[in-house]
Amino acid sequence: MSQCNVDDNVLLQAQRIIPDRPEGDPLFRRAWHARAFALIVTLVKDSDLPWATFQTQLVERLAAQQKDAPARDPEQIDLQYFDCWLEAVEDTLIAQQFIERPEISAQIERIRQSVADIRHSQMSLHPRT
Amino acid sequence: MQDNLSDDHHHDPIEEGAALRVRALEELLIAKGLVKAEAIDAVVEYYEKETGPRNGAQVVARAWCDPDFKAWLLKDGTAAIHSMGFKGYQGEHMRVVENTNDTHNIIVCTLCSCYPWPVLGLPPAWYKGAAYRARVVREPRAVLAEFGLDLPASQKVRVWDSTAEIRFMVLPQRPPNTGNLSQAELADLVTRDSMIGTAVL
Repeated sequence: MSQCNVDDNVLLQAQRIIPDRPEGDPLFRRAWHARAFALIVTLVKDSDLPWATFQTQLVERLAAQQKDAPARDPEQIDLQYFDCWLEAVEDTLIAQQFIERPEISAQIERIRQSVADIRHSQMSLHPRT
Repeated sequence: MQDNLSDDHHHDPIEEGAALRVRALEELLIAKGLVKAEAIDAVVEYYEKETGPRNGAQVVARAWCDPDFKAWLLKDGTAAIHSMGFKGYQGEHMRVVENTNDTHNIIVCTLCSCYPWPVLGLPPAWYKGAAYRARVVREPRAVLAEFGLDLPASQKVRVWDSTAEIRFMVLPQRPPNTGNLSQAELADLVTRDSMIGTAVL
């Protein structure tokens, strides 16, 4: 089967089938989905940030993604959805001046460094052969 | 700075993309005193363990058994649902729409994924997907058919678009031959999709 045929079949299927997900599936497919979800919910609860401010960002990202490459199967929908969610969280935090963008990259670098330090100390204790 | 990791080393997820970014955002907000880690934990736990469609099922079963409650639910969904203790976030303004022999209701959020969290939990993937959001408004009967639901032509289909201001929930019709069941037994019959409107009982 050629790649082209695969794509045609997928397209046909996508046009005909609404993706389904049984009720018992996990609520969050990745641990970070849960954290990103709860982070903005908590901030809205505990600050003056209106939910609509975040929602506007989310809507914009979902619309852009829908135009580019809308996902069809449930897992891909969830993965794309939370990618949009995270971008919306980040941009909301910056736009509302809770955080400045350079702080994020600096914090990421600190976390990377601390993980590297821990690994380095573990490897010193248990050197690889 | 490159550390001397061997080729068979598997990166911890925390070092990669999205997981790392979320952790960085969380740590920054905590450091600034804007949120507490325990509060974030509590939100995750609430949505994973305490809310979900079983809450909505209890509301539906009570409405089937208690005409006064049903009237209240349809008139002021927010207050009636709150009275049962289902008060979580994104449940401030809820409206319940009743399925009848004449009208079948379906909910959607065309813009993103607004959903009555306290009574239905978090939405399923397909509810968030572009296909459902775009099509259910345009061709609701075709979408319902894909869920295995063929409604009689005489039954009107109404689509309700949830927003940040108001979230809808469907009160499904009570299944036939359930007159002898208790309220708790009736609640067991109620499915999530029946409260979205993509299924009947």
